[in-house]
Amino acid sequence: MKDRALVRLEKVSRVYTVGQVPLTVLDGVQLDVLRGELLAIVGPSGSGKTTLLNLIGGLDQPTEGRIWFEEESLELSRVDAGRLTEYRRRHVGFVFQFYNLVPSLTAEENVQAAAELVEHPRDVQQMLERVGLWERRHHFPAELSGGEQQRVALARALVKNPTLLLCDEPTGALDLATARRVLRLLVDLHRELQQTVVIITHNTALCGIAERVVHISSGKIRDIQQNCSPIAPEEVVW
Amino acid sequence: MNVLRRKLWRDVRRSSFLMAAIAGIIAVGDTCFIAMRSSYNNLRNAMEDYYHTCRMADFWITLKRVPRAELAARMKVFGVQDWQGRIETSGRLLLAGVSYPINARLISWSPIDRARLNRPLLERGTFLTGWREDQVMVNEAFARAHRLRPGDRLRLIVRRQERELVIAGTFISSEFVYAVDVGQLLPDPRRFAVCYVPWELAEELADMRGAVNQVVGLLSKPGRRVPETPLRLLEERLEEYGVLAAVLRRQQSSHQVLNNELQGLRAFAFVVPSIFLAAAALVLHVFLGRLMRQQRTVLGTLAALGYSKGQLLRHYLAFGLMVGCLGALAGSFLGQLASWGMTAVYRHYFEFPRLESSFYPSVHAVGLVAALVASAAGSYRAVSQLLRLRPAEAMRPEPPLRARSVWLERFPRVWRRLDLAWRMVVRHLARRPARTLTALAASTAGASFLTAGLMFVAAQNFLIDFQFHRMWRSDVDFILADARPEEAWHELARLPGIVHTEPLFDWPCVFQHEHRRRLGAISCLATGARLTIPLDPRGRAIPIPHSGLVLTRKLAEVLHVREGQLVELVPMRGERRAVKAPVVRISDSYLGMAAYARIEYLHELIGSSFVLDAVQAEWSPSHQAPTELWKAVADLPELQSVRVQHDTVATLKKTLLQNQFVFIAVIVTFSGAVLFGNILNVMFVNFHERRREVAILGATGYSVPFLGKTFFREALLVNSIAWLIGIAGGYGLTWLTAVGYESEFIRLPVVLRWWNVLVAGLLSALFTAAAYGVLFRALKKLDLRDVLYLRE
Ligand SMILES: Nc1ncnc2c1ncn2[C@@H]1O[C@H](COP(=O)(O)OP(=O)(O)OP(=O)(O)O)[C@@H](O)[C@H]1O
Ligand SMILES: [Mg+2]
Repeated sequence: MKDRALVRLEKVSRVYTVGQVPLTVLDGVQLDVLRGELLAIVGPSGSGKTTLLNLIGGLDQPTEGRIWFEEESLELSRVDAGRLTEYRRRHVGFVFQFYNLVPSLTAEENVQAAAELVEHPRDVQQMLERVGLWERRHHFPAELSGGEQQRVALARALVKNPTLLLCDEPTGALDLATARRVLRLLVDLHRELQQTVVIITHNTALCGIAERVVHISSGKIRDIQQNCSPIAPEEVVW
Repeated sequence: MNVLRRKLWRDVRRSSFLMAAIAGIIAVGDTCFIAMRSSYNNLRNAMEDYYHTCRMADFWITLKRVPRAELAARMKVFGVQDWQGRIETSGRLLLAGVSYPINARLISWSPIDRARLNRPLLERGTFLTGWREDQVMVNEAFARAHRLRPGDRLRLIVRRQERELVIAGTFISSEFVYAVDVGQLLPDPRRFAVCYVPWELAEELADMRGAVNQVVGLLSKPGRRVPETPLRLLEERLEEYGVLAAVLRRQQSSHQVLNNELQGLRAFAFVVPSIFLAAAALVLHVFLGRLMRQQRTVLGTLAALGYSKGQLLRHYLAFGLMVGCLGALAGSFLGQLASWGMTAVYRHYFEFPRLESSFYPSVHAVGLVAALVASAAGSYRAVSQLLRLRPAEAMRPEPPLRARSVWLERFPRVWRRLDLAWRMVVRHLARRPARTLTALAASTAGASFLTAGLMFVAAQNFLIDFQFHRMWRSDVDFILADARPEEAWHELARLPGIVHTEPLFDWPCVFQHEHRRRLGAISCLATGARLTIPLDPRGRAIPIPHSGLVLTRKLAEVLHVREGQLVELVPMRGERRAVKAPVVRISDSYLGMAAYARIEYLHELIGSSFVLDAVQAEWSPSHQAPTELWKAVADLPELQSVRVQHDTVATLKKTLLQNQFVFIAVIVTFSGAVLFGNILNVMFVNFHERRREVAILGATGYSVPFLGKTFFREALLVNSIAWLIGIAGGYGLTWLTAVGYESEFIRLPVVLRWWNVLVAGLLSALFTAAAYGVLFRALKKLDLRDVLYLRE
């Protein structure tokens, strides 16, 4: 069960054209995201991590190559915008580097906004309790600290009960202690619910907690490591 | 409540002031539309009802004299459904206790079939009965103006014959919905009456035994299709009886005024709201463009969460549509109120049996739809532009605008003179050219409207000055019942209080040039006349030529005749032997068509001795209330009517002044809604975009007025440019209006006065300052910490 691919990328390339100059950001990426794994993608800044994650999450489509969402035999690289939205809605949970909460909605409403999109969402209260922010549910993003905002963002991603949880630098803007709390949540979720989690980071220190680590630089996958004994988030240091 | 909707409400509340300001512009557009279109419907319905019940005639043929017995055979023309011959003439009325002269239009009343066409509606008393000859019916407005009741007496003078008559009843008539005396612009019920008199009496007074001098008729449905055809046929068949005039309903004086008003309402109900709704769409576009950029990440995030394009489109379009709805709602309310007001004003000028102010759901529906279309059009582009981005892209911050060097920098001499704040202003404006142009367009619409409004006031004043102060300068005109030798003039010159007189001879004729014909009259003036002065376009006097004619521009245009060419004149009196005369000069006039000649020249031309049929007079300035004069005039039986130009001008000015006051208030409010709303929007959009910049400067220690300076100057610059373009725009609008409104009776002068420019500029600056006042408060309230430490 665990080795079955959830999302499969075949020779995926993404080229941006800035002005007249084509810029190859991803170049022939071959990767399977496996069901129930905790995958880390690391690479230096500008290496194409966010671009890769966006492709996996259906926010973008490749210039070349194919991406399959295996569970529904859906070819993400070919479907129209409507199907892509549908895919994001039902299967993907995003956590962004800068939280991206809707500023005019309270913590609870931000989570609610995601819950309303799916037929069988998880309980909003439970999710907020889980990230320890139920008491502050009526606060607006501007009234929460960065770590708190990121936890709300996590609750928002999880409330849809997504097949795939994608985290783009989830701790990028956080201090070590707060980062550890957020990572703890991710790891716990992954363990308890067999949640498939993809974390991207430029911080190699985070790789320790992952089961598999993909190294990427200049748009190419350089190495894929199997991590047999992931460390606890509390042991992460930088 | 759906979370997205809750977000909408919160976001709306944050920009409620701006959105209300934009809704204000839409409200102005819808108010105009609903007020004018409802008034149009009110007037039109009242007119159609009235014309139908009264059997309003389709044509009027005025002749010298046609025997009644001959008429029936001549009127058998295809397309004519019904007709009636009648006697129409004019005279003077004398009322006990009224000193000034009253002119009357008299129409014969047949005891057998009464007035079959243009049936008068009885207001009070009774219709005329067949066997009494000393009865008269007067129009209700006149009766009201003099508090006359059935049973009251009045004296009537027609061609040296005087009668004492009893008022049988009062009426209103579809022929006189707008009841004005010949040569007048505004109805004056105190000085003008319409009377139905018994047939026998009319025959006697007009010297029309067994004959009539007017035929009114109704066309059948096929006849109405091309009404000119049966009319021309009738004209031919009645030719030998001397057709003086043959007019269709649309040329009939009362109907023409009414119809002009209707056409004007209909055109303006389309044009004016279009301007405002377009301006609102532009402002909304700027507003939403900014909102969308601000919400770029939110939009990307929502898309990433799985919200579909349709949901997001609806969410953001809702901002615009809410503005549209709000504006439409306010517009419906205000427009309905205004239509009541306008219709009440119309009741004052037009006499209808019923002129009701109704509520037209369809008009309101169209207003709402138009508002929604405008707001959707304004919003759609801004919203869809961002929605077209892939969510991955929307999540990325907007690429920074390239700092371009400004065109003005190429002129270092100018550029170096500008202080830092001005340079920032110019750079900011140049950095977002599309937005700057959009804002400029919206403000220009407002400024054009304002300028056009002010120009309209200037045009009215110009027209009054041109026509009544420079061209027609007499205080009073005495119109004689028929042509008289020179002695009549000298007799009138001796009247008390009269200091100067000039003879006038009005010679009706048909002007002919090539195949074009036009019925008119030549005003024959004395050499050196100074009470009627033909004017050139600049308002300078044209001396009466020794020989030849001066034609007004409109008449020359109608005849396609130029200076130096000959026109043929077919007289309407005496034997109809045509003569030829050269056109020496073309003069300008805004009211009516006219031709001028030296009185002796014309007499020579037609081979007659010196006669005159009117005397123009100037009274002494100390004689402001010429009671004595009127007393003397009352005893002069040879006078057919007396035109008191002096009072006409006074009433006209008073009425215009009152109307102008309201008009200017409306124009200023409406254009203010655009100029203020647009500039407020621009200021706030810029402010929100540059909050960080402002906060940093503020934290560095710059004062609020300094921070506001760039915004104020930016707005002032936009509104100033708009003002300058608006002068041209206003001129264009006025010109279009003038062209659209031009008729043979009135032409709107297109004049731009320096005060138009000045007032428009001052008001525009004032609105800018008012908008800045609002921004200033926001600047003062700006919490620097909020901006510096938190991401939006
Ligand atoms: N829409 C775009 N248009 C043009 N270039 C782009 C676009 N998106 C990404 N890029 C470029 O692609 C490259 C990779 O971008 P990406 O965001 O995937 O990097 P990253 O690995 O996530 O970097 P970081 O760790 O800094 O977030 C960068 O050089 C970036 O400038
Ligand atoms: Mg990145």
